[in-house]
Amino acid sequence: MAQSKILVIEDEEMTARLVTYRLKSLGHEVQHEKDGVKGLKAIKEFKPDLVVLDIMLPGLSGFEILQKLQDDEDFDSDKFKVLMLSSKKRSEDVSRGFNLGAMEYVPKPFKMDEFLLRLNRVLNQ
Amino acid sequence: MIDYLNTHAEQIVLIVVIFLAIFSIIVFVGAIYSRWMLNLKDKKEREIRERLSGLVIQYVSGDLSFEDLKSELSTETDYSILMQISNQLEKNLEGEEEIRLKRLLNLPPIRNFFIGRFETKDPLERAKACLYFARQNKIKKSILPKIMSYSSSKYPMLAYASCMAIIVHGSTRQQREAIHNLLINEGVSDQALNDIFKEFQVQSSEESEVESHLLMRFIADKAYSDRRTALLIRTLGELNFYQSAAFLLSEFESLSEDHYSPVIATALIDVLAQFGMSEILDDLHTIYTSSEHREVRESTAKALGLFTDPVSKPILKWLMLDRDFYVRFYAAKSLSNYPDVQMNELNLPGMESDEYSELLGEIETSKELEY
Repeated sequence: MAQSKILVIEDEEMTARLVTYRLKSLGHEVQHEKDGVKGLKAIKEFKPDLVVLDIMLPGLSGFEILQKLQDDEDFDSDKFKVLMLSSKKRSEDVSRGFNLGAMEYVPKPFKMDEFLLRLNRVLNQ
Repeated sequence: MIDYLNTHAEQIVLIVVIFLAIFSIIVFVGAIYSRWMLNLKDKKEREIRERLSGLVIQYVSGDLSFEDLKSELSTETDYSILMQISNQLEKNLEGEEEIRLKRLLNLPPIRNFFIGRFETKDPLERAKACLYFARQNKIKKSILPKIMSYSSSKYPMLAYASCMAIIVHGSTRQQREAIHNLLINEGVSDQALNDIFKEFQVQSSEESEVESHLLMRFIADKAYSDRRTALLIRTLGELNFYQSAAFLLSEFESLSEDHYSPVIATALIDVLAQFGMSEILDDLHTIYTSSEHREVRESTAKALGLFTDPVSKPILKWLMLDRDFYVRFYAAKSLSNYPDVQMNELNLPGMESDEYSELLGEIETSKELEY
């Protein structure tokens, strides 16, 4: 599998560590940020191929991050893909994420195998 | 005495000052020492947390065996931190990873720690222990009576946690009693009861009718507030207990035409419509479309849209003239379910208004989002 740059923006430490561990063991280059403000900065600096994005984050929510990137004319938000990983399950939240550019949504609690399967699908799209 | 004080005043002041100085130094050194000890303890805990987090992640991912992880645990602090990090992970994981975590949380020192929590006076600690046992696949039957006794606690959190554990591990009789205790505890939220009922369904086998019968019995008992009864009715709908349809229909038919509870009536209308019980149509047309309660008219408007029978069509048009916006909204939405109805061609008063076009826009969006 080709190595990709993946940014994990997740405030729950253990979940983030587990996801990061699994992605690194698959050969990806992974960076983790635990709040929205740092996450937004990292998207611009780290230039990931894919962002695993939680919705409920301190600082800026996942939606706000996506909205800010869409509004930023100097930033090409088509350059990276977004997979939402969130315990928000209401259909309006999921649709909002897709409308803001997310390509996949994995609800918490999740099975790791299924998460990796969907992540690969997004990376290969 | 006064003479003595006058003669030795200077010495007395000096002694007091020296005493205060020594006391201040002791307090100061004590504070620094205790801060230093706390920092040392924090540092040590951080190191343990860091070490154990890495090990747990390897274990959960299948890269470290259970025995290898267990050999790394020795002190009470190890187990306490292990418990915290496992709990953090467990709520977000399913499948293989969750099973591995459960095995970890079932280690005897962790189990004993929670058994010890029952001896505390703190209801929150007891609730945590109940929730811990609710997550275990098996527990010692000897602790069930203790857990059961908490279901009648005045503390909603403890009553809820106890009921959750009883739903998972208790007998049918114990489940009935625990749910009853929760239903009469007004401090317990409907959301908490919903969680209990969902767990109730998870624990039941597909063919089992025990759960639906129990809920029906609670409704038939008429021992609970209208709000709780409505919740029980809605739960039968949410859990798709179709076998309760005939019972709910008889409850619906026994509502007094003049003095019914709007909360119960709306719950019955919503669930019976969801179950496709067209027997309610006559009463909906004649009694509930003109109810004095806004929420009953709203539920009626919604329900009629699920049947799309010809008789309901003119009634829905009439409901579109209702004084309440939401009744008009659901009447319009239900009318839009009729394939032969063109919303723009309905000849109704007020159709030229902005509100009407807004209503149509809302209906279109709601259909797109399927809610």
